Amino acid sequence: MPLIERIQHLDEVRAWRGTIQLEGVYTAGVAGERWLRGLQEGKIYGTRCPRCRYTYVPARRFCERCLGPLGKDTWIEVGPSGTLVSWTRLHVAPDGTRQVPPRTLGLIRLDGADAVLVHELIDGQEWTSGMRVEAVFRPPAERSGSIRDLLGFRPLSP
Amino acid sequence: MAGRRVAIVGAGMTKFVRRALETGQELAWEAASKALESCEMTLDQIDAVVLGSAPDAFDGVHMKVEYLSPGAGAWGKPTIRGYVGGGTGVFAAIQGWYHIASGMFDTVLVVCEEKMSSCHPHPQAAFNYIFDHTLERPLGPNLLWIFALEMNAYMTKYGLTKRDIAMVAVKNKRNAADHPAAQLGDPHITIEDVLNSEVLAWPVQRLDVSPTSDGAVAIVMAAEHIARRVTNKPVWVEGVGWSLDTQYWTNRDLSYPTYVEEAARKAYAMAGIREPRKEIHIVEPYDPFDYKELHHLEGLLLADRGKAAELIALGIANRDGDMPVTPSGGLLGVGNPIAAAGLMKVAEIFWQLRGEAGKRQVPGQPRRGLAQAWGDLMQVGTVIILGI
Ligand SMILES: [Zn+2]
Repeated sequence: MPLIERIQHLDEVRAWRGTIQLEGVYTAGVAGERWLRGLQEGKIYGTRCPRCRYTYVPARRFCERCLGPLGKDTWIEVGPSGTLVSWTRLHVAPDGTRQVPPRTLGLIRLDGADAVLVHELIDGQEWTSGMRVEAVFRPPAERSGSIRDLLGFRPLSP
Repeated sequence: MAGRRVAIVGAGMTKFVRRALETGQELAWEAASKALESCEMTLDQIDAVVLGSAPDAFDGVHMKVEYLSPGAGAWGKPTIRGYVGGGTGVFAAIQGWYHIASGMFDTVLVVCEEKMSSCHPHPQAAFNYIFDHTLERPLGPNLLWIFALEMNAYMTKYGLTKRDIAMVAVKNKRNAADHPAAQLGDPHITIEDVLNSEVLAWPVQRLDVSPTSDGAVAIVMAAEHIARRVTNKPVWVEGVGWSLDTQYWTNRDLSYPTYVEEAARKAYAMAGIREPRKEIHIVEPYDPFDYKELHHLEGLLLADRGKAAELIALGIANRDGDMPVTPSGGLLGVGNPIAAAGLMKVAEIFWQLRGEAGKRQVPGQPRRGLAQAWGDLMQVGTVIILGI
């Protein structure tokens, strides 16, 4: 029987509690800075590798397939509409509690892109893989240059 | 020499800086693409990738080598992480060597990256969690404790002064002034500057210590038949060695790095070197602290115990001396993005042996050099010997 099951109450053994306290301060990077500024302006950019004919979204500074640079001339606007590749509905939160109401996440291939973006699906509807969707941005005054400047995706209005 | 012959055929690095705008992926890409460019190879000519990086906590990404992999050209390739803490940079090159020596691969791209500026309040904070959780962490230890206790033990045993040791910091920071990628090169630094710098944990002062840095370095390694096609100046791996001391750091001989001697003896045996002081022409020992360069020179058997400081004092270790030590400027001068710093030392030997080190070039056409790093819980020694 595993040891952990024999210790029914942690207080019965001498135990020390410890936490690992570190904070991360991250940079978005050369491509990331520019990509997030684009979102703030309501635009979704990709970078297209001319050699591999592959368009990355979010935009990258280099092509992982050939390690070629993706400079300014490779930036193209993609979307804002695209196709839902797959979706899931989350009923349990990361801390183990019930997620009420549930959240829905999708993988979206934006028009003009090869790479696939993960983001929220704005709920209250039925989702099916293959359906057409479009990006919904926050109002300009609420944008901060973050992935959350995109509220998510909703079914493309016909 | 075990296995097939292996050469380094290309190298590239980013600048080492305090805080890079680039993401870790972008740093890795810059180094990897420069290394490939340097030998006019393309990614599709690479069989496998070795990616070295020290604790995940620095970049703040768990499984960070998987995160970094796009920048290192790992897409669709057999890829392995190299990780022995500070010893990683040299160990990653050793892994590249055995990938090829074994016959498994013909070409390997070795990339080492570290982005320490992500870690707050200070990268040292990540090291608070490497100690025994029950017996040491309640005392609030940090790495400086080890270094200060070790430096004091070393000074006491051999009667060395702070001034003897500060000469290393001066030499390396002056050497780094000639390195285009250096963070802390200073052609005018003096011993007094080191001795007057802020005391961190006696006897360790601010300028005895390397900085924290962001940066990446990459090398391209190839089997002999490829290497001879790619370049007319292949730099051969002649020997490698690595060894681990006890995790109970208080039990180590604090005045002598046994783990380095064990690693060095393996590497010398493989390279057929009997008299390292005559047969090694340039050396890049790991120098995160000035006293560690001395410590490591002794562990490498390149100086008698307690006598490495004389090599510095007599100018033998200068770039134009009989045995140049850390001609790059080292971690003290070029900077210390942990894993990348170790691989920078390997790259420096590569450039020096090819006569491509620019203003840093040591005279006399050196034919053999050694790079060494040190890490894990200050207990691993990693050594590589290169020759032309
Ligand atoms: Zn490409």
